[in-house]
Amino acid sequence: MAMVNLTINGQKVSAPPGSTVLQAAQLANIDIPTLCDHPALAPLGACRMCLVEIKGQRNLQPACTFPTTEGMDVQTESPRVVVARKFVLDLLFAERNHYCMYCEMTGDCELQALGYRYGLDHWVYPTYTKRFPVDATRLYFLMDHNRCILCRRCVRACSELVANHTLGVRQRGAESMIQADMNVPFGESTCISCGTCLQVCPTGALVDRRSAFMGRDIETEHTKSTCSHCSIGCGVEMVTRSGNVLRLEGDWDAPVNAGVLCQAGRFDPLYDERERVTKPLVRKKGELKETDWDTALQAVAKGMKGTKAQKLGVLASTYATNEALYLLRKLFSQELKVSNLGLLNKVAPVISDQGSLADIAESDIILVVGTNPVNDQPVASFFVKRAVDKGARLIVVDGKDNGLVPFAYMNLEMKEINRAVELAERAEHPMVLYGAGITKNAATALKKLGEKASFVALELGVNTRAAAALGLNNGFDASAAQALYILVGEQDLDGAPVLQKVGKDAFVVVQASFKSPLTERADVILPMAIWSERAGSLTNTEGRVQKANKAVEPKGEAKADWEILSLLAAKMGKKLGASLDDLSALAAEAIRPA
Amino acid sequence: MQEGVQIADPARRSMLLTALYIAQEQYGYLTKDAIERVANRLRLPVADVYSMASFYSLYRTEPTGRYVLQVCEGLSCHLVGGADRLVDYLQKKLGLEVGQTTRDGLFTLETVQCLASCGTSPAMRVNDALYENMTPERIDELLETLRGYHV
Amino acid sequence: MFEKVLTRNFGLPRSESIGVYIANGGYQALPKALHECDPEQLIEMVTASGLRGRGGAGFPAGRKWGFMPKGSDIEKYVCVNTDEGEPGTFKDRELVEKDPHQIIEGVIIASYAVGAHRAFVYIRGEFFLGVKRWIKAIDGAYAKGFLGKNILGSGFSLDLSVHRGAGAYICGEETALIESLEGKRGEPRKKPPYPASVGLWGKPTLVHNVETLANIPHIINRGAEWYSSIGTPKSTGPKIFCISGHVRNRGIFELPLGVPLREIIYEHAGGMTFDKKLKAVIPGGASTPMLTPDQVDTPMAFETLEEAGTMLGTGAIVVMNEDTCMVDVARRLMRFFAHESCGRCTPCRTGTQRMLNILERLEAGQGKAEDIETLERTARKIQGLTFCPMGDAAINPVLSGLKLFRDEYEYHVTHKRCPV
Repeated sequence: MAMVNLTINGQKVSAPPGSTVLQAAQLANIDIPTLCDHPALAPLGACRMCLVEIKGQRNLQPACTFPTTEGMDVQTESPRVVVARKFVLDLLFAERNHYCMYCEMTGDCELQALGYRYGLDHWVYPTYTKRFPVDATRLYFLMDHNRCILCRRCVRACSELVANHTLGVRQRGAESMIQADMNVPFGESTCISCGTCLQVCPTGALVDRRSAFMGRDIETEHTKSTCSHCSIGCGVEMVTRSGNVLRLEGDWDAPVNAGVLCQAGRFDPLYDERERVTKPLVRKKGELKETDWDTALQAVAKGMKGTKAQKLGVLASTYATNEALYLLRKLFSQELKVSNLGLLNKVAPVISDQGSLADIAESDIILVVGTNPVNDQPVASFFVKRAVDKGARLIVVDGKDNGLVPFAYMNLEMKEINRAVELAERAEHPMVLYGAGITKNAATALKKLGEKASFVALELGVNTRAAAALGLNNGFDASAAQALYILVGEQDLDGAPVLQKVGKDAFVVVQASFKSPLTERADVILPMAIWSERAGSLTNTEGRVQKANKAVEPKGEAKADWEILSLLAAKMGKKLGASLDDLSALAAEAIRPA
Repeated sequence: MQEGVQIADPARRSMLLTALYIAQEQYGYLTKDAIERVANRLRLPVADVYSMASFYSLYRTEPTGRYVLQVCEGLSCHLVGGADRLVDYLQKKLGLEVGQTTRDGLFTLETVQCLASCGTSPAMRVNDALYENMTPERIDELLETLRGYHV
Repeated sequence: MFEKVLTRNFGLPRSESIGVYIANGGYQALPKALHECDPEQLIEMVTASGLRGRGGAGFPAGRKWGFMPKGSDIEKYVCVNTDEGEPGTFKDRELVEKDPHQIIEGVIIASYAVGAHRAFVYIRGEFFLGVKRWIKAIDGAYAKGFLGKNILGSGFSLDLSVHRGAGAYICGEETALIESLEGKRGEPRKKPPYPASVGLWGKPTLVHNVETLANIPHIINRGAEWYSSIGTPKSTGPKIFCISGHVRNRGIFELPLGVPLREIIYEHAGGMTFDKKLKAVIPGGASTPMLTPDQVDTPMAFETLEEAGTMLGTGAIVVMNEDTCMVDVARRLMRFFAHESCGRCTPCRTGTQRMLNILERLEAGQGKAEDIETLERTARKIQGLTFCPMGDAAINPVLSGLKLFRDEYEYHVTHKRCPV
């Protein structure tokens, strides 16, 4: 590829053809300040912060939109540029209330940083005395219009990244305001609380309520990890301070989500009010008593060893790491020869293994069959809605209450699958997203699309793909178990259906993070660390193995899911691998399709 | 919808301005219901439709009187004794301020920017009709005629 | 006496009807263009005529046509800009209301020349009569076979339809017009790419002002040489001047480009009302810098007005007499621009508002000495900084007012009132 050669501040720079001046500068590590521009969003050229001087151009030009050409000569901090930037900042600072001292974002604000950079030390224009509303109708974040600079990053994020189109600009000129839907409070709008707008806001206009005033960015630590709340496997950054997770942010560099998150991934984990299990507990004389790990594990080992393999049962949540699921299979299925194993969620049948979530963007027809990503894998629903915005036709083959129905070109019932297949056959790049709700017939019908289509099973649960690959879902009968090991982990589960079938005298071990009806019934409870407290790896619904990292110490005496199983195996005299790295490698090997 | 986001059916979206006019005619002004109906019909997000409606000055998201009196406050109208003088006159005559509606719901007074009647100024618009070379006397006549329709 | 070209039918009864247009030599250029010329020849002819855009910027029409990609396999569009809204301007409204077929004939020829088969009229929402006239004229042209499939047996087809705007001055800017046609907020697009390569629905698009298109049939009928003999070498052809303000005969006058401003004011417009003294003239619409009485001999042509430090713009002349308060004029025009700012870019959105605030303070007698300096500095800094040309347009009334009548601004500060 022939590169475009230009000069920026006297430095020779090459950039791929089609690059903007800003992109070319970034490649050469030349810093051009921006406000409305954001790498994840289409350039707008609105704020006029990134203006640069280009030889031969009468006016200063915005680096974010101006295309590079061969031989171009750019100055990014010339006196003329600096005057213009200061002017833009003068105007922005005086447009609304940008009195930094009382702002949550002070120290983390892009506008403030530019104020310092260009030496703004006084207000040229009288500050705006008009008061703008603060919209605090959303639980997770608030919109303070007083801090808004109308850069429209939030609007673009809402439409370009999430394809939700809740945010817009109302009025025009100096009357312009960011609004939701038809100028309704955020809380009453079509907002789905994904928080993407929050993550792109350069000022203190959109503020996370939970972490507000809890510390500036410099005082926090960022730990990259993989979201452990559905099977998509979004990259997240856990922002922590003094051992507490303040908030979660989408990882812009993550391969699957490229920065976006959903409510379930970004907010819900931090608003979890369930009571934790912090110590191992063993039932004595009918009552659960706190004890130490050794005693608890001893009790489990004894209970398991004393039961015949046919009378042992294992029930696992997919809210567990590859390592834990691997150990579960190794210990119970291979070592103890247990065959009564099951998962807490359904698994989709395998139709085809070709395809990835990235194919959604390239497809011209999308079949959504027996899966409801709006509820279960929201980020995947963003991908679908984005493609629909670009002109892809969406066919939903599911119930009428499927969340994608309002966006669909056609809604079909499962028995009408052949119509969907016919349409897909005529398309150029068909995409099939299916889930555990698919019928056998529908799955067979879809096979007709063969190599032409991309297929991704949107699995329920989290690490379902790994659990299925490990063979942990071969049917489970609670009533057949005299001793039962339940790895419920973090899953919020109504255990009633399971508990009803569990025999009165059965020995029940529950490995869990939170108290629940299941822990009430348990004979031994093994306290488990949650998503922020453990390292490991997760396999997403495409089969992508990704690292999950630990940002804070486990609460109380809780331990990582795999660590508990590793200790239990040792207690039972089985050496199944000890270090996390060893286990990760073994697990990855075991999960990989043959 | 932002620049850069390619949309599914551009021709459908192009109907938006016309659709909003039709809705405004049917509902009197662009009620939330009207905007929702337009949005559903054209399969556009309501936020987009509302944003559009609020951008253009001829769309109204608030109710108005039966007749909207729009006095041009452009330079050419002002130079020949229009604009301020006519606005003042109408304010006194109707007993209201710019932006308000008479109690009988008949007249709303507004000012507008240039109506391209600079050669025949001062000019004003009443709903869709243009009135040129306006004077207080001609305003009296006009108001009387309009009132006459509603006795 | 100059022979009227564009307005020659204006005095006739029912001049807007297709019958009157045809009876007076209308639709004769069309068969000539379609049967005797190929598109390249037409582009050459328009280039040779020297016709420059009449919407304000004065870009050579032939060059604009030449920018459109060649080839009939590419979808292309022509847009007819009837979004006239610049204070002082009312020529396009008259053209549409009184002789729409002249424009339609121009649209067909232009579309044929650039290879477009679809054309759109974008008309200002306030022009209710104009909308009706456009629709009726288009219907008439279809009925006679000037529009539609296989026009006059030439094999060339064109569809033309009317889109009504909804009240936004900025939609007169060509890319904002395209956005509005697409059903979006009328916010200008970034350039490059220019509409000639990426326009309506992403396709090459030619946007022309109504008056520009009205010239086309005459150029075809009477030749480029005849056309370029009118006016000055750099500003050829007839021009419709609009004159308003303190003159006896306000209205439109069609005259050759290059006519001295004095002639328009004192002969055609009958001089100053009440024989008051002339104080200032806006020569080309609200966004053009003002001229003073000593400059009234300036010929009204693109190049001569540029030399005089202003612009021909739309040719809308606003005449102000000695009793006019220049701070009030600036405030009024600034209110217009602030009201019409789309709000996308910082300097236009908040800069015009800041300038308006200062002008309002000055006019109310609350101005401070440093206000004038801040006003001027703000205007100068907005220059060239905005997303679209609107910012540059908005500052002109202030900058030229300060240049010519600074003492008047200062008087407002020192005496807390208006000197006139």
